Amino acid sequence: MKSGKKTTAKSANNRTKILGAVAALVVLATAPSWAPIESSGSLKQSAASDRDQAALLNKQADEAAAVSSDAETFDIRRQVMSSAVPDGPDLPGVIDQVGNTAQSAGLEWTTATPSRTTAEGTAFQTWSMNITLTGDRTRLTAFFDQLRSLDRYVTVESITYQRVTNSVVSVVATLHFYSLSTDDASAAPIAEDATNAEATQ
Amino acid sequence: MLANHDNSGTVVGRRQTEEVRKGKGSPPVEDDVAETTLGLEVDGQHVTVVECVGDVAVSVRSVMLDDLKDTVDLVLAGYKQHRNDPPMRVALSCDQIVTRGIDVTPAMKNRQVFDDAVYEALPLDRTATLAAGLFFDPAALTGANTLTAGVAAVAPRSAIADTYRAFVGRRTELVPPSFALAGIDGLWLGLRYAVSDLTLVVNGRPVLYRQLRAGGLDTIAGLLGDGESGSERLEIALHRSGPSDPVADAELDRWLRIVAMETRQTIDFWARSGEQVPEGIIAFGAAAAAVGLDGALASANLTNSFPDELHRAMSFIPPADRPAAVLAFAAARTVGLGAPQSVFVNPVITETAQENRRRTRQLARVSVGITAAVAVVATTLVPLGSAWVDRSAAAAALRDATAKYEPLAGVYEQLSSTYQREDAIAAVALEDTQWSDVVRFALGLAPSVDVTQFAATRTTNDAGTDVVLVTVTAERTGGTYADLTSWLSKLRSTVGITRAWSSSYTNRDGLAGYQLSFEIDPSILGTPRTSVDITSAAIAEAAPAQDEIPAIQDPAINSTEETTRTDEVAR
Repeated sequence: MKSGKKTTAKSANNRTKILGAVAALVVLATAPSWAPIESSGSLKQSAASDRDQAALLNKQADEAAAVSSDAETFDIRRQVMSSAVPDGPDLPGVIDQVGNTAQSAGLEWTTATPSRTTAEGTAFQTWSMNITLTGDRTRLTAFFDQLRSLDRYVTVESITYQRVTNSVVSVVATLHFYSLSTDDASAAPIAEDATNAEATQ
Repeated sequence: MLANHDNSGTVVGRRQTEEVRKGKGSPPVEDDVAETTLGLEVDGQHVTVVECVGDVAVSVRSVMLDDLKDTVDLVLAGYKQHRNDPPMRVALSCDQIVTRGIDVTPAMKNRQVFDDAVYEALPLDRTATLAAGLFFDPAALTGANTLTAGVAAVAPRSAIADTYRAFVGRRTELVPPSFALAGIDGLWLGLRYAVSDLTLVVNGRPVLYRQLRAGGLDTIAGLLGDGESGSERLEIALHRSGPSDPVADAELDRWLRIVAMETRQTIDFWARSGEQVPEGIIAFGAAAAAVGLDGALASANLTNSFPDELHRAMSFIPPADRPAAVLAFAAARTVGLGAPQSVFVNPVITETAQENRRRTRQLARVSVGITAAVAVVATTLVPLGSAWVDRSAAAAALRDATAKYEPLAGVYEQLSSTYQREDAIAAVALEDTQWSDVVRFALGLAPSVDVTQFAATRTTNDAGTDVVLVTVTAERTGGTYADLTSWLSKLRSTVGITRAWSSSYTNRDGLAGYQLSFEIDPSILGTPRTSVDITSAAIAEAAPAQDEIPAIQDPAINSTEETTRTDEVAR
């Protein structure tokens, strides 16, 4: 009887030990997936994100401080760039500038057809404008030279001309100009109607 | 008489005892260096220790306290046992020690076999007692069937365990009193606190032993009073060291007479059993110096004669203390004799070993628990704490950076948009061409013809190279094919013209018509307009009127360091 009691107590003790060992193994095995571990992971991610953000802000502040040290030059630079590549397309403005340039070069422009091109992967908008000019062929180079002097940044994509008379040619030039977006106040209504719309002098 | 005896009865010196203990059985060595040994007698709560050098007792101490452990510690104060020192032999005086002669075989050198043989001869409760034995002729135990004489003693396990417990930390061999008296022939009457007993030692062998029913002096103390009161009255009666106590004296005298009578009866019984029992006894123990002892012994026709040899061997001890120190002295002289069977097994060692194993297991469990806890902490709390500290530092850095940036936010927004515009121009300029140069260059290479159509466009040729493709249609009155050939040759030999070919040639009524195409390498044309050009021109133009340009006023701005652009990251 006594021996039986001892055996029972011993086996209960063994069961307790086994259960304890199993519990310890389960705890150790699942420890990495506990919430604190996940929390430490997210904390690390947050810390890395904060550090990156802080580094960026520091650098931006340094740059801003640097340009501010020569505020007058920066103001000119800013204004020039805002004119060269405005926020919106400003189609009336660009037509006006190009038209004046053609007239200044001794050419007569008859039509200007702006349209928006699709620029993939760029942070700016590209606009296209076909302009028809008529005039002395020798004035053509002057026109292209003067285009380079515009406040607005305008580039030439292609030119085609046909002789009308001995010295007069009819020129069709495809020009490109640029803006940061399409949604400025002046651009919105025109941009929608710009495609296939035609401005005539 | 006072000498050690080997198991054949030969008188030998101290060294012989040592050799027997070590089982070597070698002859005595005459020039043996005297060895210091300690012998103790535990007699109830009284402990006596005798220090021997060789066979001579040089000191004795006797202490009695309520706690045996404290008593042992006190009596052994000043004795330091070194690793190579022999064990101290302790003679345990307790009641219920049973002694009997046994036949010894070589197999009984094994302790288990020995214990089995003893309990077969002495049918006692094996769980409540422990056995010790002295083999009279161990050197003769050769082969398998040798038989020699011996004596076994069985004592209560609890008394042995308590005594060993009092000696924890010291190498001790606990033996029955009769074993300690081995080597000194005589009829020894022990008159001690715990027991009174009679031991017959013949030829150095303790052949007969009997505990007297009269009990020890503690029985008188119990009659005289409880606790210290009875003990004090007994001590005064024993040594006549205080006021006369007739009751105590009478009880002591009565006890002595009972002891003497029982001794007489025992001697007579042993004599009738065929033993050669001497008439004179050697009384020892606490009551051996009692005033009424000699009278009591005389009433039983006994004489007490303390041997002169003992007096000589204990000459450094005061005469009055010698009888009480005899058993401790004898134990010191017999250190190692007959071991290991002569020594009671130490049950405390087993208990201690079990306790140590239990503690080791417990420690292992605790260690596992601690290790698991450390692992959990290392895998959870430490990374969490580290991440939290890291996060806090990063948040602080972000706060600082935000505080630094906020006053300059407006300036940076302007700068950022300026960067975007400059980037747009830079990207376009990569593919732009100086178009006035195109017209000028293309028409400059033409011979004297009338250009009727001209087309130029930027494109990519079949080889994947960016080129300006020019197509010219011209006519000339009186022209020839040679003009076309000459024109093409000129184009092809011009640096920057990568390819030139004719599409058609007509000649109708003397009017030659030409159509040809060629590709111009854009790199030979003028430099495209860049944002730097635009800005530089504007600055140069505005230079005279600088005073009219409003400056950005920001008191937070004071840095003049050159910096690089970060707008790409920002975007």
